[in-house]
Amino acid sequence: MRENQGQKWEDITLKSLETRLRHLPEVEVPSTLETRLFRMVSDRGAGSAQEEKARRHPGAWNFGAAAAAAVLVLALILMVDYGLSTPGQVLFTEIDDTSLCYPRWEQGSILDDQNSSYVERTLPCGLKWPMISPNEAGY
Amino acid sequence: MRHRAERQNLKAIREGRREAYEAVISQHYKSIYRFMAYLTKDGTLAEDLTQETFAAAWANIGGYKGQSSLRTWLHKIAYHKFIDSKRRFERHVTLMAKLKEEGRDLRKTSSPLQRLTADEDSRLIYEAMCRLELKEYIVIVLHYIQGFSFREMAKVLDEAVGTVKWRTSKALKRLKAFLSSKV
Repeated sequence: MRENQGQKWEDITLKSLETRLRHLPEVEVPSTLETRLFRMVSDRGAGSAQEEKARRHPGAWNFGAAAAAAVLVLALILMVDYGLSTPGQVLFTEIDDTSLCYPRWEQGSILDDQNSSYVERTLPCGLKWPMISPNEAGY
Repeated sequence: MRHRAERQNLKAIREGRREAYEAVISQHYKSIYRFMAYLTKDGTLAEDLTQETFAAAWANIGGYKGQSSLRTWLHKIAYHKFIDSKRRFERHVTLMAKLKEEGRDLRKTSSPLQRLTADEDSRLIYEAMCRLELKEYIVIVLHYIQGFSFREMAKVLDEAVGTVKWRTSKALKRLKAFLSSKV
C-alpha cells in the first residue's frame, strides 16, 4: 500500500500535480465572518472613503499652512539677520545724475538695464565706492 | 476595470453608500479569508486580517484607480496586511518555524485548513507545500488555489511577471520533489 503511494507520487506529472492543487478541499469560512465585516462597516459609519480619510488626518491642511508660514518667517528672519550682520559690505549709492557715473553713456556703450538711479555694488570692507568726479568725467 | 457592474458599484461606494460596499464584502470575503487562512494557518488571525483588509480598502477606496480588478486590489492589501502582521509576530518568535510546525501538526490544531486532512493525498500535498519557502508557498497559493493569472499575481506581489512565473514553476518542481521523497 505504502509502496503504491510512493510510486504514485514518483510518477506524478507536473500537470496532474497542478490539477490536484486546484482541487484541494475548500477552506472552512467562519459563518459569522460576513456579519462581522458588515458590522465593521456600519460601525465606521456611512461616510465615504474621503470622509474616513479626513477623519484620519483632520489637521492635514492646518499643518501644511502652519509649516509654510514657519518657513516663510524663518526665511525672513535669516534675510534680516544677514542684512544687519554685514554693515558696510553692501553699499547703496543714490545717484541723481547717472551721467556722472557713466561718462560714456551718450556714446551708447552702456547697456540699457544699467540706466537706474540706484546702483548696488558689493565691496570689500574699507574700500570706497570709486565715484567719478565731474572733472574726471570731463564736465 | 473589467466589469461595468463593478465600476457602477465602485461609484456608489465612493459616494459613501454602505450597501454598495457590503456587496463587495459579500463577493470577496471568502476568497480573502481563504488567502489569509493559507498564509497564517490560524483561524483567528485570518479573520482579523480579513477584517483589517476590508477596513483598509473601505478607508482607501478613493485611491483605487481601477487599473486592476477589485479582487486583485483586495488581495494586494491582504498580502501587505499579512506581511505587516508577520513582521509584528517576528519580534517575538520566528514565524516560519511556527508555521512549519503547525503544518506538521495540522491534525492537532484548530486550523481553518483542517479539511485538507480529510483525505490522505490533500494532506500530503499540503505538508509538502509547508516545506516550501514562504515566497514559493505564496505563489502556489495565489496561482493554484486563488486562481490568479501571473499578471494578476505580479500586481499583488509588486513583482515582475517573469519573476512570478519563474518562481511558480520552480515551486511546483520543488513540490513534486518533496512529494516524491515523502512517502
